[in-house]
Amino acid sequence: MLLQQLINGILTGSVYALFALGFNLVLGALNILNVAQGAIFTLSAFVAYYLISVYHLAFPFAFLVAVLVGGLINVALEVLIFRPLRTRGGTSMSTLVASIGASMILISIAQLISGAQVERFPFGTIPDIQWNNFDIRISFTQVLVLSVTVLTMAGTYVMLNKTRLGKAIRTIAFSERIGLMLGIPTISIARWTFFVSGALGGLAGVLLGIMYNSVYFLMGEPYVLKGFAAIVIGGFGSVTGVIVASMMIGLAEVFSTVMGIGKFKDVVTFGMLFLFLLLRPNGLFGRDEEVRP
Amino acid sequence: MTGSISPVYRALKLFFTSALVSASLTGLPNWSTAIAEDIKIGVPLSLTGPIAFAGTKMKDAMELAFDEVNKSGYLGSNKLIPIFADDRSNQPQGISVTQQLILRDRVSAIVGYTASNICQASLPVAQELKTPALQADCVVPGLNKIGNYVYSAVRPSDAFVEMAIDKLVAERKIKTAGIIFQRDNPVFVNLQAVVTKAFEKNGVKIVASEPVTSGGDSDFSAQLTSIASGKPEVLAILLIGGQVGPAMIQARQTGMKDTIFLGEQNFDSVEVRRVAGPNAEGSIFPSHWFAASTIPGNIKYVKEYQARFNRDPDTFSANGYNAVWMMAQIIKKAGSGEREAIRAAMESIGEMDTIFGSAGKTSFKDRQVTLTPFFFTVKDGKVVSAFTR
Repeated sequence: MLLQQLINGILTGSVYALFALGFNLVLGALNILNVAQGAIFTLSAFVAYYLISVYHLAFPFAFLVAVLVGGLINVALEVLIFRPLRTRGGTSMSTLVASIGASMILISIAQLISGAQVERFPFGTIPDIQWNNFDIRISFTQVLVLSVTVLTMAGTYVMLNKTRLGKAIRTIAFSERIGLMLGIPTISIARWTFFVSGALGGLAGVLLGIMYNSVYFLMGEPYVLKGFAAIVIGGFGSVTGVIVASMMIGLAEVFSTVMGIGKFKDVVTFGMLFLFLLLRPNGLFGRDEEVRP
Repeated sequence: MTGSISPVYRALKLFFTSALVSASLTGLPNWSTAIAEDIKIGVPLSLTGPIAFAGTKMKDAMELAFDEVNKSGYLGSNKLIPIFADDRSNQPQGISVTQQLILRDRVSAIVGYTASNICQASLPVAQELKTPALQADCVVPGLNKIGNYVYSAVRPSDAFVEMAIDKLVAERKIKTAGIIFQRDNPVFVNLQAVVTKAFEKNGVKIVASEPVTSGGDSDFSAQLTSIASGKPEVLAILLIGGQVGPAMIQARQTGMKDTIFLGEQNFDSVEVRRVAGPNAEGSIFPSHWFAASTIPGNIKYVKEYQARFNRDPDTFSANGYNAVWMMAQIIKKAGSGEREAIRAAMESIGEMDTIFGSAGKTSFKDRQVTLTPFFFTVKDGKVVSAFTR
C-alpha cells in the first residue's frame, strides 16, 4: 500500500506542479498574483470535455485546443485588465483584486454553461488499461498524466533558460525598465508570459479532469491556494523550486492519510507554508535580493 | 346649529358601521373578499457554490410547483409569489438571506434551503423572527427541535441508512466495510457515526474510515487506496452528490471491483448514475421518493417536469416541488397570508397530499413529515428494489 500511496502522492504533486508553474511564471515575471488561474484551469477542462462529449473530437486534438484556449483567455485578461491597470500605475494589490474579480466572472460563466453539474469525460476517452504488479495499480491515464507533466516541466525549463523568449521573460522579471532599454518588446513578452501561464493552467485542468473523472465549475478553487503554497515553499520565480515544493505538498497530503491524520491534510500543507515563511522566507530555491541604499 | 351631532345620526352611523364590520367578518370562511392577496414566499436555495448542483434543480422544480399552484387556482384568487434568494452554499449568507427575506421582503413564510449546515444556521433565525419555515431538503437530525415555527418536509436520512445496513447485512451476510465521508458537512459527519454504529451492531468490521476534507475535493485516491487495502465488501460513500460519481469510479480503479457501494438519498440522482456509469452497478441507497412511483400526483409531476425541462427529475427536484405543494396546502388551511395563521395551520393541518412514499399521504409528527423509505439498487443501469424482504 505504501508504494501505491507514493504513486498517488507523485501524481497529485504533478498536477499541483503544472498549476503552480503557470501561476509562478506570471508572478515571477510580472509580479502579478493572478488568482484567475484557477478559473482558467476549470474553463480549459470544460472546453476539452465539451469538444469530446458533444463534438466527438479525439482526445489529443481536444487537449491541444483546450490548452490553447487557456492561454488565450489569460492573454485576454492581460489585455483587458492587467495591462490597463499597470499602465495607470496599479499596484500589486489592485491587480490581485482585479484577478479575483476576473476569477469570479469566469467561474460564473463555467457555472452557467455547466448548470452547476459535475461532468466527467466519456468512458473510453483514454484507453482503460491498468497494470497490476507487486500490489501496485497504475493506469494508462496515470502514466499519461505523469509523462505529460514531466515533458511539460522539462519544456518549461528549456523555454525559460535556452530560448530567446525565455531570456526575455527572465529579463523583464528582473527589471521591466532594463528590458525596455535593451529593446525587448515588453508588452509582447508580457502577453507571451500570460499565454504560457494560461496554457499551463489549462493543461493541468484537462489532466486533472481526466485523472479524477470530474469536471466541475469549482474544480480549480482548491488549487489556487495549493499553488500559492508551492510558490512560497519552492521560492518565487524558481521553476525547480515550484516542482519540488509541489511534490512535497502532494506527498505530504497523501501520507497524512496513510498516517491516519487525513482530516488534517490542509493543516499539514499550510503548516509547511508557515514554517517556510518563518524559517526560510525565500523558499527552497529562492534567491536573496540585494537592495542598494 | 353648532356643536353637537344629532343622536339619531350617531346611532345610524354606529348601526351601519357595525353591520359592515359584521358582514366582512362573517363573509367567506377562508379569504377576505375585498382584495385577492399576493402571498410572498421566501425561497432560499444554494444557487451558486458547491451545493448549486442540487439547489438549481430544486429551483426549477419549485418554479414549476408555484406556477401550478397559481394557474390551478388552488388558493382561489390568491397567488403565491416566490422570492428566490441565493445562499451561495455558505452559512453566513444563509443567515443573511433569511433575514432579508423576513425583514426586507416581508415574506409570509419560507420554504426551501438546500444544505443541512445552512439549515442549521438559518432556521433558528426564522424561529427567532417568528416566521414559519418549511425546510425542503435538509436531512440532518434535530431541525425539528428548533422551535414551533420550523417544520421539515423531509426526514433525516440516518434512520433510513441504518435500516438499509440492517437489511443489507441480513441478506448478504456482510463481514467487512469501509467508510469515506465528507468531514466539513454535518449530515455526513453524523452519518459516519450512525453508519459505524450500525455496522458494528451487525458484527461488521470497519476496515477503514477516511475523511474527505471538503466538498470541493475531487481526488480521493489516497483515502480509497487506504480503504481498498482492507478489501471491504461494502463501502459507505458519504459525500455530496457531485463527489459520489467520481468516488465510485476511483474506488473501482483502486481494485474494489465487487465492493457494494452504500449511500444516502443523494445516490438517487440521474447525474450520479450518469457520471458513475457502470461503476454504480450494485450500489444501494434509501429514498423517500422514486420517479416511477404510481401516486397520481407524482405521475403528473414527472410528466410536467420532463416536458418543461427536457430531463428526468431527481430527489432534489422532487423535494423542492413537494415542499411548495405542502406549503400551498398549509396556506389553504390557514386561510390567510399572515405568519401566525400559517404557523397555526402547520401545527393543526393533519393529513396532506405528497408525492413521497407509497400512499401519497403524509402528516407532521414532531414537526417533520412521516415517511416510509424505499430501498433501491442499480441493476443493469436501472434503479430497482434492493431487497427481497
